[in-house]
Amino acid sequence: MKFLCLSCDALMTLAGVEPDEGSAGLTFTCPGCGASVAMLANPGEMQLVRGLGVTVGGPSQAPRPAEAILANLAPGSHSCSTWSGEAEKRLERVPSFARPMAREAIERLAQEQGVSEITPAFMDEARVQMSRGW
Amino acid sequence: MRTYREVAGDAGSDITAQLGRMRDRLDDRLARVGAVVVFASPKGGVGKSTVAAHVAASLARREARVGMLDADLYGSSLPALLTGPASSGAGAQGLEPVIGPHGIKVMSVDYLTGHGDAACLRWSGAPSPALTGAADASAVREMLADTAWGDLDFLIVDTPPVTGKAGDLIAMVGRPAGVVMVTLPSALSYQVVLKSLQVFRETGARILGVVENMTAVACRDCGAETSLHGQGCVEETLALVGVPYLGGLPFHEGAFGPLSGETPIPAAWRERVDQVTNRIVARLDMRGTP
Repeated sequence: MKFLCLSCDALMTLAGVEPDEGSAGLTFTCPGCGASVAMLANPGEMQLVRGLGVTVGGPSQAPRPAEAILANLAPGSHSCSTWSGEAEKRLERVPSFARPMAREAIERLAQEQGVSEITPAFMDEARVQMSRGW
Repeated sequence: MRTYREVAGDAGSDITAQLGRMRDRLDDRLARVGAVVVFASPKGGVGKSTVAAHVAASLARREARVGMLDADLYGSSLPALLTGPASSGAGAQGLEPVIGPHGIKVMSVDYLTGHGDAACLRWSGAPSPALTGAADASAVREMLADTAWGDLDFLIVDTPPVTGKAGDLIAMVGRPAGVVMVTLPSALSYQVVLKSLQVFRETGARILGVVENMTAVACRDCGAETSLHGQGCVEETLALVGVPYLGGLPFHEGAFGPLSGETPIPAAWRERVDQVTNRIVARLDMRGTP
């Protein structure tokens, strides 16, 4: 997308990006007369830009490996909790095909409750809490 | 008023330049790879990942330098087949691949999500097919470009089931040396594979051939094989449409476990994988790569 200043017949240039909860305000200025316009991009448009792995206006530093993947992961798609050895052992008792789902559900609950380490006691608690949802 | 095309420049968004730099990063990385081979099938559950992993192992046993990229973001199988749960960190050259059996360098999004095999990948933001597609493509391209593969003879890409999106898949991977399709012997499977072959051909990708998986099951006692879907239909059909048949692999339970697992794989089964691998390499050689 480009903005053309009709008075000057000049391409307006990006002057700033102000992110706001997923959406963003993009300001463009005419290099001839100094007139400005703002484009208000909705969250879907900004999500598409992020999905492509690019930054409007260019990145502030050289990209790190897998930067876009890590930036685009939804909360809960990567774990912020650690598992104690006992909890890991207990998880091993869940059949392998169901283990990822169980792990994810417990981690999500831990994240929601701000629990940093998953222990057998937390697994007991999680079991009770999750069974209430059925 | 001038049109979009008549107005030069990107107004400072830098997006076109960033996309160009991404392509350059990918090209630089793949310049050190002899051949990128894509394993694909429009059908799920046909054993794409299993066949691809065993072909990779067959190559690596013969001292080829082999990498494997798990492009099946939502159904990753390579960690379970090749490495077990693992994570990848960033080193000086990029993401460190996880080393599997026979030195195969493996990269999967599971290694980046922080909890091995447990990740159920979801992108942030509102679910939308277009946005998810863009994020998926970007993720595969980024793993290809950012993984420190080093010098490889073969980079094997395991893909999710696709038909209509074959063009997207090929665009993500760049310029593969060829595509290997995997099918079951059932008509339901290979009919769809035939359709998919046409779609892949339209992308300009070179079809190396088709592997027929789970052709038969062997008796545990005497080893006699019982065909599951009749004899010779896939090979004959492919011959009629001019697509190379790369070979058939009977079902063996050991093939579905980790490659370094305890279930022994019979030498005869491994030899068949070697034959399939030889045909793939021969097809690559016919066009001068690797």
